[in-house]
Amino acid sequence: MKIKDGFLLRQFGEGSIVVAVGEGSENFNKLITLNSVGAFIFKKLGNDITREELIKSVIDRYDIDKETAERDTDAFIGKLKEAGLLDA
Amino acid sequence: MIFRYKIAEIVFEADIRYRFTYNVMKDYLVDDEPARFSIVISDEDIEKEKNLSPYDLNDASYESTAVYRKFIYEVMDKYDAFFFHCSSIAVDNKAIMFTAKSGTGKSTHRNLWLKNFADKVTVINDDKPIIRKIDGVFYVFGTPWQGKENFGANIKVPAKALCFLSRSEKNSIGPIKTSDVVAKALNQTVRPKDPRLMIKLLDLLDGFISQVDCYDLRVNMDDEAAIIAYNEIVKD
Repeated sequence: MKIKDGFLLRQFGEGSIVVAVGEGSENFNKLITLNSVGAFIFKKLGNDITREELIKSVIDRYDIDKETAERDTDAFIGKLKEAGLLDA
Repeated sequence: MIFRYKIAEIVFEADIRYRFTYNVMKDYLVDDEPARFSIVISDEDIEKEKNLSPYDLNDASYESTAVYRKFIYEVMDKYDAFFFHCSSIAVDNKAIMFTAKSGTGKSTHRNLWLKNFADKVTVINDDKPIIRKIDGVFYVFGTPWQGKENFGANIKVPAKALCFLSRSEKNSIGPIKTSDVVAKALNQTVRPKDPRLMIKLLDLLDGFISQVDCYDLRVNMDDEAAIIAYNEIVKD
């Protein structure tokens, strides 16, 4: 899976924000604010990546147990899907 | 007819059809400086404004806002300038901005400052000022688009404070988180579709927000609202 084209991530202080540009902005005029973990996953999803690869990179980066990483990553992916930002 | 204007120290020409637009912009006419670019409004531009507007106005009104929209897109990249929806005032030649969704009471709060500190307050622009970075400093500039009450002046004032205004029974003023500020600020400007321009706008906003003092300002309609805000913002 991968983030659709037309979304831009920008860091501000400790948080990050996602805005739609180009065709993305035709259907999406909201803003998404992300914490550092969210921004990390969002960046990883800039290139095509499987759920398993994503969870592994979260575990490596944040040194957390598999169960927590799976739960948090799945929740985040669910939100991105709901908002229509993900290409399956 | 083609007229020459200077807004935020940027000179340009605009081909104006309606007397209404001419009148709105007449305080910004210049004649002796070279224009950097030209704005021409097509029927499609007016149609586009109509579709974006929540109101049903005549074509002349839409010509005026179309000129502003084109101006904003022209200047963002080359002149480090962006539009920011707020009521802005000057106190001791420092700009204080009040921003909020339409209908929250920006002008009402601005009016409380005028009432309580009449000898110190100048209204820069009550609705649609331009923010521009010049030599690393962000300035608030008056524009011809001054809101319903047509309040403002053709002046340039260095930016000092940005207040995110909301209504409340009790008056209070306090700090606000950077991440909240960015999201709220992005909702008070025109967001370009062009990714390159969007990156430019985000860079400008980042610099702007770092340079000004940002406040969470909760107010009612009593004089006290302006007084507590004044005491916190203009303390030095």
